[in-house]
Amino acid sequence: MVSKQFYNKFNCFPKMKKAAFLLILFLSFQGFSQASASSTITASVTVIEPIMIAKSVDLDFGNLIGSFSTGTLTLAPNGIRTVNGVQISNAVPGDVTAGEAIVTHSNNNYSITLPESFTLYNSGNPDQFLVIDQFTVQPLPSAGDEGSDILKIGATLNLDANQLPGFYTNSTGFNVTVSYN
Amino acid sequence: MHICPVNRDKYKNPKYLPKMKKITFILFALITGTTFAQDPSATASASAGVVTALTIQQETDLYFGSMTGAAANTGQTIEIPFDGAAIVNSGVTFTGGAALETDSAPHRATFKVNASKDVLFNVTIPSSNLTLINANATAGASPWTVSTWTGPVAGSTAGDGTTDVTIGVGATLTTGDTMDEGLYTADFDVTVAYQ
Repeated sequence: MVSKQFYNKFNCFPKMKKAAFLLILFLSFQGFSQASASSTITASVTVIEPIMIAKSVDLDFGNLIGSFSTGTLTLAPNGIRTVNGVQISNAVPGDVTAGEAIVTHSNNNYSITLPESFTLYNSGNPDQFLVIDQFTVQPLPSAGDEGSDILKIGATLNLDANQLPGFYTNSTGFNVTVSYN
Repeated sequence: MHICPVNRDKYKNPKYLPKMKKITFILFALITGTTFAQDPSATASASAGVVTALTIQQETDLYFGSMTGAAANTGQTIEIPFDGAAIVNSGVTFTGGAALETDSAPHRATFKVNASKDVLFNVTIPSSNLTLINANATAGASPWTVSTWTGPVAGSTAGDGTTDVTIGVGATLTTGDTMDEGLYTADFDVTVAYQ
C-alpha cells in the first residue's frame, strides 16, 4: 500500500511519468531499427561571404554658374558633366568627381540601392539649398567571380533661378546600400 | 484536495530578473547585427559650387567728341584706348564743347560687370568695322567707320563677388570725306563670359 505521503509526492508529476514512459518506448524502437539497417545522411551548410561596401570618393559636381532661370547639371558616372539651362566655366571647373564605392562580394548577384534625392545646403546661408536626384551607378552588378567591384555614382543637380552663389554640401552624406539578391 | 507545492514566489524574486534581461538584450543584439551584415551601406558626401551669374550693364558710351565741319577733319583718325589712356588724334579739330553732345570730351566706353570673386572672365568686343550713321549725311558720302576695337586682355579680369568691376572698350574712328553736320552713331555689343 502506498502511503499518502508517497502518493502526494509523486502524484504531483503524473505527466512526467507518462513522458518518461514514452521516451523509453522510443529508445527501444530505435534500438531495434539500428540492428537491421543503417543509412548515412550528410548535412551541410554554405556560408556566403558577407557583402561589404566602402566609400572611396565623394560626389562633387564642381563649379557651375548661377542662372536667371532654372536648369540642371548632370554628372555621369564617368565624370562627364552635361548642362541644361545652366553654364559651367571651363577655366574654373572646380573639383569634379563622380562618387565611388568599392563593393566586396561573393559570386552571387547583388542589388544597389541609391537615394531618391538628396539636399545640399549653402555653407554660408543654410536657408538656401538645392536638390540632387536621378542617381545613377555604373557598372551594374551581375553574378560572376567573387571579388571587388568599383562602383561609380552620378546624379543630377537641380539649380533654381537666381540660386544664391556659394558652396553647397550636406555633412550627413547620402547612403548607398548593397544586398544579395 | 492536495495542492502541488509550486514555488511561484520564486519567479517573483527579483534576483531572477537580471538573467532574463541579459538574455533579451543578447538576442536583440544578434538580430540587429545580422541586419547590418546583410545590407551594408556606405555614406558619401555630395557638394557643388554655384558661381555668381555674370551681369554687364552699360555705363558710358564710346564717344569720339565734337568736331568742326572743317574740311581738314575729313579722313582723320581718333584712337581711344580702352584703359583710359590719352587719346591719339591724327589732326581733328574739336569744337571744345559747343556740340550736339553735352559731354564733348572724347572718352572710352565703360561697363559695370558683376562677377564671382577671383573668377576670371573674358570680354568679347566687336571684331568687325562699325559704320556710323548720320541722318543728315550727304547721299553717297563715304562712311565714318569705327575699327580696331580694344578691350581687356583675355584672362586679365576677375570679379570681387560684391561690387561691380568696371571694364573699358576703345576703338579708332576714321572720319569720312564729308563733314555733314549731325550725330554719327551706331550700336555695338560687348559680351562677358567666365573663362
